[in-house]
Amino acid sequence: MTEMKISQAIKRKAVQIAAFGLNNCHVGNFFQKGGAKLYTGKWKQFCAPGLNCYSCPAASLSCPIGALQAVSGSMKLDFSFYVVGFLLAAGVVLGRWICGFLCPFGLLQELFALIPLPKKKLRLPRFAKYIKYGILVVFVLLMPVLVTNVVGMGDPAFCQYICPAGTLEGGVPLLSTHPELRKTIGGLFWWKLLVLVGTVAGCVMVYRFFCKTMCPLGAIYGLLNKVSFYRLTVDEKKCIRCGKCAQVCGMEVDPVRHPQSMECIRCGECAKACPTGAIRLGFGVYRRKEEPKQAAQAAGAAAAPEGQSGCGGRCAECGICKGKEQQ
Amino acid sequence: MRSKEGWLNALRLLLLCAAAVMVAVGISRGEVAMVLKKAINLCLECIGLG
Repeated sequence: MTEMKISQAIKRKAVQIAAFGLNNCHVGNFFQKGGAKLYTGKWKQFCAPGLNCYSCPAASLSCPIGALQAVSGSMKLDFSFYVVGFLLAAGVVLGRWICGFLCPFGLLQELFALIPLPKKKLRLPRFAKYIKYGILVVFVLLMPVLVTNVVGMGDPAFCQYICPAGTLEGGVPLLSTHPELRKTIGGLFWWKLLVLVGTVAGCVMVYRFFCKTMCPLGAIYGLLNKVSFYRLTVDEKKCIRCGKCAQVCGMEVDPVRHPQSMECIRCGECAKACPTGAIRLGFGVYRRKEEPKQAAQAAGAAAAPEGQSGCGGRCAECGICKGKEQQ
Repeated sequence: MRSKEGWLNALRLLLLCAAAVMVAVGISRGEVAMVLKKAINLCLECIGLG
């Protein structure tokens, strides 16, 4: 059992690393002559399910949040059906499983959390988890549409003022390899660097700090956690209310009270910690299968047909005795 | 319980259909080309220079 539990965590990490690699497979672009270059192929017309800056030289897909702002901030359109439709489909099927398994920046946050600084584990105030919904509405949805220049184009406000993934994955490698870009560094870059440093410090002290407080993609998928096909179910008959699931949850969720919590990233730590195996994650609803013995008891004890033996007076309606009677 | 699950499945199906329609509408409006154009060019805002 212990061996099985360890392998589940390893499997998740393996999926995360594979997803990170697929999202950033053009590593050679970091080492191009003349400085790092972006991948410019057709795969970038597709959105990645997780948060990954498309200005990262290695990025193979588009960032969904960046793409959403790009379309809504354009001169012609104010809303992106394509990106929102993709996010809706991904969220309905998988919910925040995407955050727990496929998001590259989610993996980076978990790596930051391994930094062994002497720290007291911080607990965020309750309102902190709602900040990301405000960021989603204001910076991602409204500002690109409402704050426009003379020709009607809006800037991607979340990318411009907040996103630490862009600074880390795009800004740092590009500025370090392009001296001409470094000449244009201004106050905005130092602000974004401050946000990045603050986010990393937050991730060191709080598990998945960015996911909990700032990620607009997590906000979208979190809303769809309520209806997603992939869900967490608790067998009430097995649950002994020990509270271990809530204790181990890095996202500060009580899986028994809130199995479809908007904060749950479906990492499976609660299922691993549950002593009775009451928690299940997967597609579909958990239906507890009755043991055959229990089914027989539930059906009621009934005398075996006359002349037959072996049933011990308890009929499980297996039909064997009827078959023997016909013989 | 089964009735609730039925409603949930209906809602999921509805959302998936809506998602498919939205993606189709987005593609017909030329949003894919917009996404591609933004993604293959250096996003100065993303790296802190915009």
